[in-house]
Amino acid sequence: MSKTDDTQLIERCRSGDRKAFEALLVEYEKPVFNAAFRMLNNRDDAQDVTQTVFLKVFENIDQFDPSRRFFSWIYRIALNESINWLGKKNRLEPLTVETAFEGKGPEQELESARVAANVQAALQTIKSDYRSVVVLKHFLGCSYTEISQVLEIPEKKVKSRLYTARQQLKDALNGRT
Amino acid sequence: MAIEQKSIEQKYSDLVNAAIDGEISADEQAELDAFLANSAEGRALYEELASVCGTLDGLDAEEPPNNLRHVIMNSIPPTREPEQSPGFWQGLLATPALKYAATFAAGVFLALSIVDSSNVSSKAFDDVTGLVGTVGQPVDSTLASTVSVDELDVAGTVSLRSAGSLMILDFDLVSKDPIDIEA
Repeated sequence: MSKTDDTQLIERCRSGDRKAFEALLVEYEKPVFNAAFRMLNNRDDAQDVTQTVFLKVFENIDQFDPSRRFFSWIYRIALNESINWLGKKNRLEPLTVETAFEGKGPEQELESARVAANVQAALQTIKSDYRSVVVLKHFLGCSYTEISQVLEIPEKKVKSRLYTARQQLKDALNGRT
Repeated sequence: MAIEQKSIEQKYSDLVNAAIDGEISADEQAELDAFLANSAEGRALYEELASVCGTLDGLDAEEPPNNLRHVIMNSIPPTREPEQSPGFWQGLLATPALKYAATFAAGVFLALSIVDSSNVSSKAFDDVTGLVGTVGQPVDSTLASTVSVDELDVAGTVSLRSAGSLMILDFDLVSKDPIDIEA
């Protein structure tokens, strides 16, 4: 969705137009849910976080700075809420492969599901700061510049975090195959 | 020498990442190609990181639960709370000059009350009606400072006067709208 479209919807939201809010929800529900899921590794938690994110957007839409892109604001809220959720649920401990598969043998899984589970488990082994850049880059399709805007860090830091995250993921994945 | 080597590695690892992410210029790509042509280690790094990125990019997006949109729409209030406009006194006290003046006035009033109470018998406090709406007698005073107020609801001046050792705050404010006072 273009910045103009978002801006118009936000203006209508500010005047209490629920249809405009629903249009934003339709547009951003999937990326926000995916961001939360990749951060939390749990669909129920991701659903709760997604709900919280949109409630916060609705309540604080007046505080949104229209000179910024809406996606950078909502993605930032989504990542912060996910990290807060991790803190609350005390899920900072890395998951093991066994936790990820939870009793399902490899022979019962399709190859793609096995890879997906491995990646998801590997993601949980890296720090949330690094996980955030991976989620933004690979699951939300953000550029370096956009990641920099969402996380409010310099592009140079985005690149270095991404590099470190990928190295750690590579090691984690190699340890699981 | 080791530091120089490390900085070169950092530079090329950045280029490897940029190339994988499609965020590399033609000049940088040429530089990276030249480096990779002469570095088996560099080629290994490229292949490993490209493999990790390919795995990440190859994952399907998770579909949100079917009812999530409905749940969210039902969880938000029917209408957004409109911006609250401040009431008369809130608006008045939100004015910085008046806020300080009111604080100062309260302090003066408190100090005078303490001084006065030492000269008043306890019996005087049994009948508080005399304290309600008490207006000080006019005294000769010298104007020290005046602040003009011209807000949406109220206009006038707040003056600070001195009379010997006393400091007096003189409010001369007029509401632009009728005020209902309820006892």
